Amino acid sequence: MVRSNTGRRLHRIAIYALFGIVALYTLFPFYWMIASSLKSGQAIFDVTFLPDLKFNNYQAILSDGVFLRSLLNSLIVAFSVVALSLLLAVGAAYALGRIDFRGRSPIMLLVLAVSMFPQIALLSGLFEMIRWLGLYNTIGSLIFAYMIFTLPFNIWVLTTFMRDLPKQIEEAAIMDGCSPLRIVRCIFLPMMGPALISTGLLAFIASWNEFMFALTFILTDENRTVPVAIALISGSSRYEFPYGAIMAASTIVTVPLIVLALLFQKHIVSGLTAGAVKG
Amino acid sequence: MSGIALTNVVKRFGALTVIDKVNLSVAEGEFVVFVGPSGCGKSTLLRMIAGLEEISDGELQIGGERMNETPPARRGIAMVFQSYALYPHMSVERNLGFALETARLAAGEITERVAKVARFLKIEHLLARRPAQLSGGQQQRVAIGRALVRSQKLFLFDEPLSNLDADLRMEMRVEIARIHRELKATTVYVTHDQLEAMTLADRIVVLKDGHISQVGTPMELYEHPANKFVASFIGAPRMNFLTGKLAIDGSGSRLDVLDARHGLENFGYEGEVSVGIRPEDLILGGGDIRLPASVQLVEPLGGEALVHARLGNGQSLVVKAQGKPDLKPNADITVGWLTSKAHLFGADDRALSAKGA
Ligand SMILES: Nc1ncnc2c1ncn2[C@@H]1O[C@H](COP(=O)(O)OP(=O)(O)OP(=O)(O)O)[C@@H](O)[C@H]1O
Ligand SMILES: [Mg+2]
Repeated sequence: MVRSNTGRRLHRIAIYALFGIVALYTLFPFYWMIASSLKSGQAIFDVTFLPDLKFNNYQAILSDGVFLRSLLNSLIVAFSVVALSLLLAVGAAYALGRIDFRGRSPIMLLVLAVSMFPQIALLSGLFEMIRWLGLYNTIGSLIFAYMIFTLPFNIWVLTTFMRDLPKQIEEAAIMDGCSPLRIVRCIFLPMMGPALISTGLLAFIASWNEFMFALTFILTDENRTVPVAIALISGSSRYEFPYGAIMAASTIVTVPLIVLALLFQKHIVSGLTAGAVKG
Repeated sequence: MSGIALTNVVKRFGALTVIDKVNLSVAEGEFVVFVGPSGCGKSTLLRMIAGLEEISDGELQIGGERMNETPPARRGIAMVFQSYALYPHMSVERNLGFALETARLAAGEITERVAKVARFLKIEHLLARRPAQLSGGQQQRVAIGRALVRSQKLFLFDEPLSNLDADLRMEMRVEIARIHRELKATTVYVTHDQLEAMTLADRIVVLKDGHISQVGTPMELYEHPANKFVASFIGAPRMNFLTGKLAIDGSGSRLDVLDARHGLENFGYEGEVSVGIRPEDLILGGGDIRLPASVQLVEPLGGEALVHARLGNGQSLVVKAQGKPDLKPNADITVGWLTSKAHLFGADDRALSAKGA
């Protein structure tokens, strides 16, 4: 179809306009958060769109021992969850994806079913288990709890991925003298890089942002993770709500996610689509 | 110590018997080719030797030792797969050295052996590449190299050339023949290409529906097929089959084919037979038995030509004629053969042979 010049230009303008609207819609809250975090004191209540570039909110929040501690806790929790759930999920995926045994599909269905429970339904049961395990008010409780929702998803994605790896490559490795462990470690894991990165990243984001379990299972400030810590930031008096500090803290907390996402963006897409399309 | 002995080997998948009581021995250094139609169990039999498939019944010996329960890596076997099965994330060099790495050889020795194999297969310039950066033929060389590097005494190939185009296939066939000549390793090779089988094999094993139909050298199978199945499977173009009648006639036999007849030695058999004549044994305008036919099509192949002819009863024959026969479609000809070149098969499809000859 031949289109006139003006028609083509209009078409292009429409696309850019649409793109602009979507960008504004998704990015404006972030911009507002960052801009607010760079205003000081009462300036935050003036509606100005340009930031002041004052860093005293950041100074305040970064010299706050409780916040720094919670940042560290969050990092420990998120990385432990990623490491543990990937490790367990790869093992499970090998069994479910590559070994023929009775009861394989019921297990897969169970895994899927578990990942569908709403979080709130698990809360009281988990609370009992955590008390019983002596994990109450430790970050261990959060690592334990977060695996409940990261594991099923990781197992599901990695199993579909693992199942589609060529059989003859596995057999070639067997002929080369590899044990199952070595096949998984030296052959399958490298071939599954994109899937591991995307599932790992999603597990990281989920644990990093989780609020309800973090609020329920942790009692004292020094064990808190960032989302709860931010919610509990309070001003110097009852009547002051420290918007600036909260915005600065939120900005700091967003940074690791953005860095990770940018770092791995190519792999995320290929990993997710590979699992989805072939599965 | 790398001969193979299969004794009453059976493979079942659930209720389905795929390999049924196969007996076969392969001598050390011998090149044996399994051929047969798709689904006859060639791969399954090979994979049982490799240890990738469990043996349901019977015994497998390699080098005189029972191997049924031995894990694949300890059978002293190297295998080349149809899909190459190279490790996609490793360089060619690491692909070649991976088995040695697994066996925990010293790094120096691995490099040395990989270099030697690479030189032998002329893939030295490819060592740094990934499999995805290689052509099909180069990938196949690397796959063969991966098998060679472990210097095993027994090689298994499962249709290694079927993913290559015709030119490359010939080149690699010659290469595989050279490797076998130089290393003299016992080799079992699966293919459905009878040309590969004829040119590479010391002995050919023809499989049908999970059992061995005939074992023999390529010439034995060509000249004395034990049954109609082997006769039609070996040789290209295919053997022609005509229906005839064999009767005892005095001290000999008499063969009737359509309106022609000819006396034969005593076959001790009476009744309907299949007469098999290879296209290269059919003679235009000659032979002991001659039949009138009309030309359907002439396919010139350069030095020779395939003449498709139709007999009076509507049956088609393919004649391989030397040179460039000057025949027009629908021309009337006679097609004949020397009875000594014809193969006779009884009602059970087994080859008949003359008594007391
Ligand atoms: N894992 C399996 N489960 C059930 N049946 C199988 C299995 N593997 C193979 N078979 C059956 O065994 C028979 C022989 O298979 P095999 O792969 O050995 O054939 P093949 O001779 O190698 O054929 P092709 O030339 O097509 O490769 C086939 O009928 C196949 O359907
Ligand atoms: Mg096969």
